[in-house]
Amino acid sequence: MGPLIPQGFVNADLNLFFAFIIGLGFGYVLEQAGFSSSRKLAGVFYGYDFVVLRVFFTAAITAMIGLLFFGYLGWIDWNLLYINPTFLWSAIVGGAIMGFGFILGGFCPGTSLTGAVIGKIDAMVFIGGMFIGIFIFGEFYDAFQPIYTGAFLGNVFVYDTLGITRDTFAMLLIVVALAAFIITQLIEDKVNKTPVIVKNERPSYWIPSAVMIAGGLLLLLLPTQPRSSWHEVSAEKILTTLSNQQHLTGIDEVAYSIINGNELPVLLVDVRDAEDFARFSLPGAVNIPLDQILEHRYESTLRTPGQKIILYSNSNTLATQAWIIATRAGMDNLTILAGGLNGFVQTIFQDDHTTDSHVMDIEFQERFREKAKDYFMSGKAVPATKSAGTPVIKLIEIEKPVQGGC
Amino acid sequence: MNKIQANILKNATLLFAIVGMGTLLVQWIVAPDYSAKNETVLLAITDDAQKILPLQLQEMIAAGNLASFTLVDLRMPQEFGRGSLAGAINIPIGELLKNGSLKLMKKPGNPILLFSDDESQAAAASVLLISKGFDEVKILANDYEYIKTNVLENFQPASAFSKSEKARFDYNRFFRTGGSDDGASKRTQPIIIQTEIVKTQGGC
Repeated sequence: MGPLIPQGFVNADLNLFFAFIIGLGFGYVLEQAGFSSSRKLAGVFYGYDFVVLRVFFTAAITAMIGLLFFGYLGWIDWNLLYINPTFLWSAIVGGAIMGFGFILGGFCPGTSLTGAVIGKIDAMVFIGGMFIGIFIFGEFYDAFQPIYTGAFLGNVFVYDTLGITRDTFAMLLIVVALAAFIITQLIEDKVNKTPVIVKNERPSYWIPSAVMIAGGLLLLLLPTQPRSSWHEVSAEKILTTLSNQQHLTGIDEVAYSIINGNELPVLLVDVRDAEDFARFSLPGAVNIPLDQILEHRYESTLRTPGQKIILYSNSNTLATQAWIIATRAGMDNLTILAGGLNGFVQTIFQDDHTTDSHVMDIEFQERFREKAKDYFMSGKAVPATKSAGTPVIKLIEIEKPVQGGC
Repeated sequence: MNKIQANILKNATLLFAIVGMGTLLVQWIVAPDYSAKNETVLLAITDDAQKILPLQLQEMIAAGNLASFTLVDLRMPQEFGRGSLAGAINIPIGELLKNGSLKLMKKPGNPILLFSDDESQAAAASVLLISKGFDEVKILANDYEYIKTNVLENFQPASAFSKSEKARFDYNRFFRTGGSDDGASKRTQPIIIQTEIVKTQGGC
């Protein structure tokens, strides 16, 4: 479910379950559309039945409009979509073989399986042929390899090649699809010599066509992404929190959390750049530099539910900027270390902790700071759970493409 | 039969269109009022040129081109009353986004220069103003008191490149790690958390 539910709720194994459900639906629709019949499928090539073209074109347009709108609304992460890289030679040769096989056998791989499960013998023979083909390809892979991986173009998009924008291309494709529907209907009628009565009884499709066109026009009018998204937090709300100083976590609290990590667990996030982080970081801190804070790979860290997360930098400035940016993006349980590292060192290590005050709170506070100073100076500032040294947690991302296809 | 199917198709498309329009409408209503995308704002604030260091301020005062800025003092009115930069207007941070304040600051062609008794407050205000559509927003490094003593009254060359975000201490001196007594910080191998991004591929 990668692009739709990116937070990692759905793991790779659960993905298989969803794939199974979607597969059931796909098979059902194929069968219901009559695609288990090789006569219907081959009809495209002889001109008496264009239902295959209509179904797949409609599916493609629907998926396209849906994807573009989901992208606009921020429901889908385009970076996680897998786009088949283009190998020009294998596309040409493979396409020719596929087309030839389609005319000859009357099936494509997916529909042959649909045909086979409802007991069509020709579909079963087709599947047998498919496996023989796979076997030959596997056995003689070395011979095919230059063609198979030749003319590699990477991820190319039609609209880039044509030099038009994505949305213009989408509109163009919708117009082409509607024109194809009308033209194929005319061809079909001519080949089948459809009587006029049947033609007149045909329902009108102007509403679906209008919706398609309207969707395309809307995509043309809308920017690629809105300037703000529905899940963002308003500037006024951020300013209220800021001016009430609710975004600050006191130095003593942070010191206490580091010393008693198990009692008051916090996640310290260093928003300075990697160089400063390598030189020094608070015990147990992770590094998310300010300029990368909106990157997808850090999202799950900054959104950990129920986890108190404290951003810090050398002073308040960088951390406050990071806090605003992240809070606007909807990460709502963040605070910053009041005073930053400068404030921390000043308060805990530099200030004199002897006090004449007999106010209990102040006395306790100073006593705690003196203790904390000794604690950090003596080198005990190591989280209890990690045995050796200051851990430098580094998040790295592994991309593991999953192979699929039909 | 054809008629029934056509009706189903018609109703389904209409439902689809209504749901789609409804979602877009909700996005328009619920989305907070920002004039710049979060990514754009982030790019603007991570630019080092946004911060005006004491040396630059001194040069600007000497050249007399401070007047081309809309100077905004973010402190409380009573602090502002005790003295501020010449020509500055007073907008306390809490009132930054009020309509009147925004109108006061919106002078075409004039970049905004923010300062306060706390550099982070000026930085925060700059983030919010940029996200509200102001193109050029700069901030003065350091707090106003520091600027007053080190630039306005008597320019101290030592403070030329000072800013709050500068590390004032060698932090490693204070936090001794790994129990080593010599104070040298020993770092162990990083703990690496591996996150898997699974790209899915489909077809047909």
